[in-house]
Amino acid sequence: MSYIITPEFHRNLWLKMSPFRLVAAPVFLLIASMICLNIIPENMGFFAKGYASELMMTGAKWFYFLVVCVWGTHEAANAMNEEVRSNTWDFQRMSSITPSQLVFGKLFGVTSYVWYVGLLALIPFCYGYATAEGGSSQLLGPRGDGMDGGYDAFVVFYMILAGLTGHALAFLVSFIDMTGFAGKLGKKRAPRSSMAFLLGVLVSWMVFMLGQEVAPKLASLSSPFAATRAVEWYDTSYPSPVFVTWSLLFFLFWALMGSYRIARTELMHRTYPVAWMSFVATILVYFRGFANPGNAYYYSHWMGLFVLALLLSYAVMLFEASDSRKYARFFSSLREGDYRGAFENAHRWLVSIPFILICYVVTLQNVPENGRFISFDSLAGFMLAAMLFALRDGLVIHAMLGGKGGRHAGFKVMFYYILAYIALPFLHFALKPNKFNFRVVSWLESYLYGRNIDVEVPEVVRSLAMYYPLPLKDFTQSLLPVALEAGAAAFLLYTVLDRARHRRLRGTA
Amino acid sequence: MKMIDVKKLNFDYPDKRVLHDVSFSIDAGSVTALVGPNGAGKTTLLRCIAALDRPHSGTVHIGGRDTADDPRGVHHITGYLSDFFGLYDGLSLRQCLTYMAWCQKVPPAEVSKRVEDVAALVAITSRLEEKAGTLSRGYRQRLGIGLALIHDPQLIILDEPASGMDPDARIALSQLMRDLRAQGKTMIVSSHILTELEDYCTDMLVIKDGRVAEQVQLQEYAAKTVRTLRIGISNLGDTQMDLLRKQPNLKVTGTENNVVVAEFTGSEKEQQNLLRLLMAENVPVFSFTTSQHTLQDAYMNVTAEKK
Repeated sequence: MSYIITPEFHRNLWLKMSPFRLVAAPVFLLIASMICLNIIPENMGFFAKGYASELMMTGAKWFYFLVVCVWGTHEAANAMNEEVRSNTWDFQRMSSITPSQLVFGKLFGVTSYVWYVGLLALIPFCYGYATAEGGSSQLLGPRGDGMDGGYDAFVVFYMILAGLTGHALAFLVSFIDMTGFAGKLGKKRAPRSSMAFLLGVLVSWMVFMLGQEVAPKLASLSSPFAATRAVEWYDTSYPSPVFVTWSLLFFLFWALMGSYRIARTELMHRTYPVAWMSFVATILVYFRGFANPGNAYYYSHWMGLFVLALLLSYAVMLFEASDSRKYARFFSSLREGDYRGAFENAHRWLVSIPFILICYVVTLQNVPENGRFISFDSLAGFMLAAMLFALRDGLVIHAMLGGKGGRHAGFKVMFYYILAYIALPFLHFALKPNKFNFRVVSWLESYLYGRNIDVEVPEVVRSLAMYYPLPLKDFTQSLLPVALEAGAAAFLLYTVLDRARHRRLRGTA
Repeated sequence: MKMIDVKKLNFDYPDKRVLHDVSFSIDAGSVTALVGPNGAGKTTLLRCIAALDRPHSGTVHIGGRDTADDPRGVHHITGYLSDFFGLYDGLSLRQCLTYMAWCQKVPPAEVSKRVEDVAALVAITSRLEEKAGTLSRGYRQRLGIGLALIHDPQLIILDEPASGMDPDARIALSQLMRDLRAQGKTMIVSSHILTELEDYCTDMLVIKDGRVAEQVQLQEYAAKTVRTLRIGISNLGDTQMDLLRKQPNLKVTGTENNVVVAEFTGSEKEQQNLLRLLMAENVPVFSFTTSQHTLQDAYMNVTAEKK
């Protein structure tokens, strides 16, 4: 006796596909289609026959959205939740199932019935599309001149893509949530699926709506009359609908790859942060493609990449903040000369640093001399300050959450942000009021209009550098305060980790 | 041959070290009772042995495989039932077992037979078509054990398998453990019910405050320790008492209604000789019983010594 595709997929088929459910879906769709095509037009004379087809097509489309993109995303967001809550996760972890079997089986297994109903709904959609009067559709937009045949195949492709993207993202987010809190509490906890669900539905809806825009253009590409915008990427022109489609598939790939890598870790395979590094690298390569090296503002594009790399590192730093043991294992491996182990236990924010530095160096290399908006020194100081602020935040948050298990993590992080970025600056300026004067305005002007770049930095701006990264020429003004703060944060983290280590060695909580 | 070899194992939770330099080894074919007070680190130790949690330092080898380097290999030869396991309540028992057989890469041609065999082993054959959600606690436990055994693992790890079971289910569980022991399986069982563990365990590992307090081979321990003999003698009088007091290895500690209670330190052979002597001397013996709670006594001794 063998299984269908993967054991996990087959198990979900057993759970989701009861005979009643299998019969109920087509019967319901058949009745709904009959109502659209016959009963409504016959009883309500003002409906034209063509409009009935349109009504069926539209109804089927939104029914598909509700079933696949909303209900399906809900199922995907709860896939891991169900496993952890019902205490069956250890059985799966102990089994010989592979990470790809697990991810495929769960993602497509929990949504199997949803896809069954959704794909059935595409039949009335396509029938309605084929029989609707040409050019009358308001939802799909007017058909392009010279087109032979419709573009419903592309619409259907995007509808399926919308479902896949929403499901993959919701599954990934709930999986991240589960593993993120695992280290904190020392055991697995059920992930909160609401955030994963909302994110998944949002992205799914965006792709769904994008399909309405892109599908007709994709269909018209073969037409000699096609007038489609082009996207310049690495000095090559690509038709925008094709580029958008491949971009979506690229992000879908990474969503699936993310789940696969987490599954690998959960199934106790040795997992190095190679996939994360590849993700950051490919994202940077992807966005770098839009830059034009001949442009005077080429450096600003690289600065955008610097910010992106910093944000990715920052986000993963927040996610990893829960487990001080990973630091312990990392340093312990380093001490023992086990570099493979150290790489395996290295925090992802650490391995992101080379990408940030590359973007930093390339940005500065491309700053034009006599730049209009910003000088080399100001930009270098600003970017370094941004890095130091990120480092400071990371160290403080890891110190707050890493030491004693990180209860109320969300509250603590929120408290820190409010304190560091709102309360303390507000208190500072409340105690030293009336500082926003003419000199501040003239200093701002010097940046906005490129005039008078050497204007003296007003005291209030210098004070702001304690709280936010600012593009100041003088490094002692832009970097010294945050460097001291980051140093203090490093000492705090060291103290917390050291105390945690001693507590562990004493064997007391 | 060693099935489990643990060396200098340390395991940390973020705020607490729960296992400190734990080292021990367990022979293949033995059944080890893992005992200790609540919070001693038993479950964490079992999870490390099952390669479900990665220790801070130290090594665990299962059947020669390092749990750090080859955790999946360890999973393949190990069956593990956690203390708070769950079942897929919407599936029938047959489906649950079939699914786990697939997950454990049992060859497709053998899946049905394996399901039937395991169902027979854990005595759930008559309920194979019922939904797991309808089972009583005892049957859920049997199915859980069945799921852990489906791939015929060399090592079976059971964490509190008898918790919440009624007396009938516990007797059935003990019988199952004896059957598995007879098949030569290596087992490590954590439980607080020492008298039941005594039925089928060959070894005992005591964990206290995250450290190995003692590892005892129960048969050896039994041979070395005192047994309590209760000899019922009709019309018990001074003559019989004098005869008993003269016997080597026997120390009379009291009498209860014609029953002499004595501590006996001799071997099994010497116990036979004692009975033979009483018969030869025409002592009217109406009962001759030995009471020995090896595991419980050993545990009590160990914990008393450590205190």
